Amino acid sequence: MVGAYVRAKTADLGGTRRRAEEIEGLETFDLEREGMFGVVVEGPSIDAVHDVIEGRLTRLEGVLGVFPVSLEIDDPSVPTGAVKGTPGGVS
Amino acid sequence: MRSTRREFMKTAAVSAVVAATSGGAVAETVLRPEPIRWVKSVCRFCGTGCGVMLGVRDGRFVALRGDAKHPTTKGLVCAKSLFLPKIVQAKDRLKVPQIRKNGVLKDASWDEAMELVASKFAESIQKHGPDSVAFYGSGQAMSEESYLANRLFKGGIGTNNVEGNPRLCMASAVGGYVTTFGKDEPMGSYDDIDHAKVFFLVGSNTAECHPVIFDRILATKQARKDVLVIVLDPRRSPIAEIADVMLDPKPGFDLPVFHSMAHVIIKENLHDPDFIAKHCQFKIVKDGKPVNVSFDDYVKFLEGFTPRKAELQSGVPADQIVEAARLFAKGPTMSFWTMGLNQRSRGVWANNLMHNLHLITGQIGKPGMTPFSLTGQPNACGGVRDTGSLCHILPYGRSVKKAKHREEMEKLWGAKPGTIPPKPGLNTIEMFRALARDEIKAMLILTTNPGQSLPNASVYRDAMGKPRPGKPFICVIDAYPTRTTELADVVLPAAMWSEKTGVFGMSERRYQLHPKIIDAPGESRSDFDVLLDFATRLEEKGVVPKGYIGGKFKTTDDIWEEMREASRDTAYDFRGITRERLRNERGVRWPAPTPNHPGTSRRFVKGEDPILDAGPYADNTLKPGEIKFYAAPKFRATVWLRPPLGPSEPPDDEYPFVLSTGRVLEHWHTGTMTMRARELRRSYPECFCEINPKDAKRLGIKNGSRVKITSRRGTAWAKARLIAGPREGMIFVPFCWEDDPSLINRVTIDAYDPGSKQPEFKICAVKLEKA
Ligand code: SF4
Repeated sequence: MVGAYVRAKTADLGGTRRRAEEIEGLETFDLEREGMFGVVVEGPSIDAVHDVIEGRLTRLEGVLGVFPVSLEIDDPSVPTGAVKGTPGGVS
Repeated sequence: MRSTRREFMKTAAVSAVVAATSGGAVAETVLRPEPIRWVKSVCRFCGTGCGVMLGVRDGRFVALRGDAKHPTTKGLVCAKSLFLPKIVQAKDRLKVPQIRKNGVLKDASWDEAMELVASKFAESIQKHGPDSVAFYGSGQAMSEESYLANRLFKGGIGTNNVEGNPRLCMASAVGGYVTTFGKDEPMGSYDDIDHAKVFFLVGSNTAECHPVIFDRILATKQARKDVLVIVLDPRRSPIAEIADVMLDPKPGFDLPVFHSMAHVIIKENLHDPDFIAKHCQFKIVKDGKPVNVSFDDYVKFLEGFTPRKAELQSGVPADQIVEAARLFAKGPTMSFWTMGLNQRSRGVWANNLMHNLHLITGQIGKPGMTPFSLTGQPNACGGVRDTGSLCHILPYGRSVKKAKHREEMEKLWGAKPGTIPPKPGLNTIEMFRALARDEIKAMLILTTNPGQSLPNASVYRDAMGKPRPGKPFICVIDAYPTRTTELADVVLPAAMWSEKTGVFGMSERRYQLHPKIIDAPGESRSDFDVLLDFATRLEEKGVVPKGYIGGKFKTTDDIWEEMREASRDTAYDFRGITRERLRNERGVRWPAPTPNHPGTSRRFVKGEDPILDAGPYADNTLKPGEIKFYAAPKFRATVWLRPPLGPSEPPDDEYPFVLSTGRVLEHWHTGTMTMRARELRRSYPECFCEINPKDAKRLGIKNGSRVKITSRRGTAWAKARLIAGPREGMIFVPFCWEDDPSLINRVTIDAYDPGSKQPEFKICAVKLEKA
């Protein structure tokens, strides 16, 4: 799941937000900031979420930039960092 | 349970976004109950230096989010950093040392590998002298690591053959600041973004390479209708989307544009005569020596750059030059630039001419008025430039050529007097050329990938890896297998940034601490530990005085104390940036000489820059707000009269295109890290070549087809991407792919700027064919 905000051309903020909402797996929310709205993108995998953001959202007409703010990896396949520890572990 | 967790994650995501866009009040309250432990840190990638929070759960690095409390980046991050948890935990991290035996890298113990490295270096030093060995470091190592390596090689071994990859990216910016203002590093800060009304973006794809800075510019432009953007770039990168004036010169011919803007500014009386009279001097180089000239000489010199004449030289329409000059002078103007200006055989001159515009309009040291060089790596500024880890400099603004500076460092380091040679060592390209001639016998390469990133790469790949009698010994320390580890004789597995504690110093002079949050995988060790071990073994072998480093420092905290002391009485004075402050605060901008000093937003300004209050540069006759370029000769910044020379290899009949290289949003430099996040890799699965559709039509190249790019040095292949980005006659290829057909640095040129020694990655002549 990724939380991001979108900067859009101010003149067409409403239209850009409506177009964004048509993307599956994406919800928008108000940010009370000129030229911006927030999005939460969910998907079955990080790949899918990334495709939504990079493949569709950033290319929407009126979007100037998409700025992700948080990413949660709920993926047990990510290994733990610790195997043996750092010899001497001084820094 | 599952849906509760999902809802919670969603609330947290929304809160993080709201916090990031509203000053940070929300995140703390909402996230507190979460089972993740959040640790304050700093992004591992570019010099923007975004504050991040790293999430740890059950000993795993599971999440990353922007740090809403960060004073300058305010919770914003870009796509690259969000994938750091995955990148750090990539399955192919190096975990054990390896030694090449019969041509193959084989696992070894740390002791065996370190003993071999130390023996090879000691043998070379004893047989061929200290200058037969070299260190090639990185703007990605921690400040403490670069400082330690510099200390070891210059003050311990006695060679100035200390270089690092910032030579490839920012040396011209350093040369520009030093030759104009007398000291390196920007005088302004990100605070100026909020006050500027004109942004002059030069040779910088800010939208993709420094996205969070780009967002702040966008935000300013959206919030204030009178904010304008001038872009100067031969390639229409995504920032062209917000340009009010777009200047696209022929690649390498922007110097006449800068001069012409200065011409218009003075001719239309838009300059600041008082500022010029008080703070500037004018210089030209004659017979190889800088000579003082007058303002009138400068005006006369600029007659050669009327907008019409500049149009003929640069291809930029005269009326656009006039418009840009008027906007620039109106200001307040903040200029940003990166590699388009720096990676040039006239990079220092281009930097000087950028500064000229700020000086003649007096747009320095006031809110929103500053020339600001952006940096590509997280610690090129703090780690390599500031610690003096290049062949010609010593820590904190000192020079190897100055006896006083050498003596100061020898005393602080406890080195034998006379150990640091007075002559600069070999710069990066010359160092690798010496390696190719087998004159450098042993080289230590740390946290960087020259096998992919050096220009004219084939020659230097051979230098590092081609088997031959007397081939130099190469040791590479890295966290991942790269195009350089494959050439090494010994590979040492390194801890990543989240697995060690140290300081990064980013573009606006802010030093920030990143703490260790997890253990390194396998037997990996921090570069700092490896360097300590290496130094101790060299001491045992008698090529470094006993006790010079061994036993002196246990942790990076220890060496930080010495580094702070090294900054005493320099323009960098950061004695007040204690470890405790770094742990508690979101970084501090130097100078900050005392523990209660808040850090400096604008240098050279009385009342803001503490260097003007006490110490060797103090001047208490100044009134608050007055400027003094205290490090410049006679306290005057130099307006340079530079000839408008073009690139070292312009296109010709045989090689009619200009090749320019760079990056894309999702990938960082040679892709060592970002290519390990499948999601990032998939966004650009293969190397592409941007071609102007008019050129493509002429050559019969279709979108998506393969093209062959050939220079006098080598060939690479890529997928054609037809886009009116590069101007006609120019192509653009990112250097992020490591696979051999795409290795574009086999094509680029290793000609370099005679002043900064920075290679001209941005311009070389190539031919383009359908593959
Ligand atoms: S802009 Fe740079 S520092 Fe900030 S998150 Fe992106 S890569 Fe990291």
